[in-house]
Amino acid sequence: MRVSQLLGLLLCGLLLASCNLKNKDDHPEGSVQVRIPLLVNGEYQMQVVNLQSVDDMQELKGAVANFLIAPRIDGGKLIGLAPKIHSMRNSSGIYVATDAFSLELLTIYYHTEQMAIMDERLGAKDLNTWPRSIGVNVNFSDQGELVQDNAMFSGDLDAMLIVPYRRADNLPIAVNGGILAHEHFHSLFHKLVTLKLTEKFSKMNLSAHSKKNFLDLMGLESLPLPPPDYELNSASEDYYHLYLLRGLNEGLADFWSWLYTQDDQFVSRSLPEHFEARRLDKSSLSVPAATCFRMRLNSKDQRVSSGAAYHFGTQFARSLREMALKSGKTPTEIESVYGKAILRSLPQLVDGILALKKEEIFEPRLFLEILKKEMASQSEEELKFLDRVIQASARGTCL
Amino acid sequence: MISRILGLCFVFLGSIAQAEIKWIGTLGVESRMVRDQDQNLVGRSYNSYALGFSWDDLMFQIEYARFSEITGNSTALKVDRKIEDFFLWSSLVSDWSWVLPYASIGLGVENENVDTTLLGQSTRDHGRPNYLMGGALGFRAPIQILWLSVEARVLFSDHSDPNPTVSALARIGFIF
Repeated sequence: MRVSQLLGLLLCGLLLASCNLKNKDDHPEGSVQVRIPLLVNGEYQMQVVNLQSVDDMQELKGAVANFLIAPRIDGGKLIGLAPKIHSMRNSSGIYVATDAFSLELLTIYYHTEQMAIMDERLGAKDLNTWPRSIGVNVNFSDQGELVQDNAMFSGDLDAMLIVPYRRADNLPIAVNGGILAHEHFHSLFHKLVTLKLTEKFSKMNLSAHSKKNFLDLMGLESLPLPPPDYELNSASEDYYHLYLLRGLNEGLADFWSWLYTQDDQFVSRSLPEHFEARRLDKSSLSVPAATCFRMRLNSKDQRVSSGAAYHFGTQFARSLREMALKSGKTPTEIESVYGKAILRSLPQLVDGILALKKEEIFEPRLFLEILKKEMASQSEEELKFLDRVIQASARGTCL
Repeated sequence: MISRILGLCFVFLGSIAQAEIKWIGTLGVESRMVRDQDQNLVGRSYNSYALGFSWDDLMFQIEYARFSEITGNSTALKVDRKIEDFFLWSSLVSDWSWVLPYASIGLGVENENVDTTLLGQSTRDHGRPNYLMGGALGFRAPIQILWLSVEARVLFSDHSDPNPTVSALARIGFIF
């Protein structure tokens, strides 16, 4: 046999052997270290964190998240391919994403894992099913235009949906821990409130995000709409309660994000046009009275009426944040006391709304009173502030 | 054992000394079919540079190839990735009159560096070396001095997506 043939055979053997090699880095045992963008001291920086539950680094599968790329809806379920993410291990053994999309998915996985840990701390782990379904690069249109730069929670799909982010200068939504926590809260609200009120509101969407158009484009199936004889005029009590719940959902989701990140401006980091309207570091010494909220809802200025739920929610979140800061508690204590109180208050909100007689309405400040009752410990300052907010809200002065 | 290896080396070097050696230098463009961040299989262009020699119907080349790409948005979050690989290829060349087909097998190592820029702050990471193996089939035009060839390759690496990766390479250079 010639030397060249011998060499060829040898290399062929090595080549075949390589086909059977499995990359141990793709199937880690135990936690792995990854480098992702994270909020530290008020600024986003690249930080090394641990992912504790990843089984497959290539498809980023694990106990807390199940990613689907550009998913569609089939049979009421979100269907899509699992991603292939691209990462390398640096000289210290830390996983580093080698493209921006992989970096975004690693970051979403980290925050979802932290959300699961936070839920567990607050006794809410069993409210959601895990792993959570997360659609990324979701394509859908609203009034004929592709939606971008947004994220939403779909209760019917029980999934978080993130549409493409196209802005050049701002933090992508997929790495914005505050926005991811906000959407996660919607999933808790959905289980504790929306599902319990489904019958009353004929399966109407309680999230302020558009859902119908998403379903229209993706496909293939539409959700039950209110019956044709369901008259929802803006003066009705149902209309008011629907938007009150939307507002509470948005406001509590903002406050939940603050509990998770302590970030007062998490929305404007990705969507700077909302800086003034959504920043949480402004004082709010009352929440709107029902009359004020209804006035906004009935406003002929569509910008005012359509933004009423967010406006209400932000005021609510600002009041809660201010009260928490006055408490003198540490962030961990605040998370525990306020997080648990919110989770215990939501079923009572449902009971309160279901117990209403015809033409009765649920005053927004009543939720603060429920919350006050459910808070495990309150400092004098905290109590004084809460009473002041409840009293100011009862006066019904419209801002 | 060592004496046997040394013996084989002497036989090999002795054979080279007796045969006619031709030196080779090429520049090339390689398109590797890989999955991009949008999950599509796309042709990724590598610039390739090779030096080597042919001896009898054998050919040995050392090849350097590189690739870079930037993903993400321009200022807030950007990932700048650079890949370099070095390959040692050994080839068997046939001597048909109108075209010179060759089959190659190679071993390589790949280095990857990533610069991640977040809101103006950059972090640089150097990856651990990844090992590659490859097989190739190519055709060279039987022209004196000038090297012109096209080649199809299959590359194996546990770091590649997909694995194996197929590629096509066109090269121009010299052989004398």
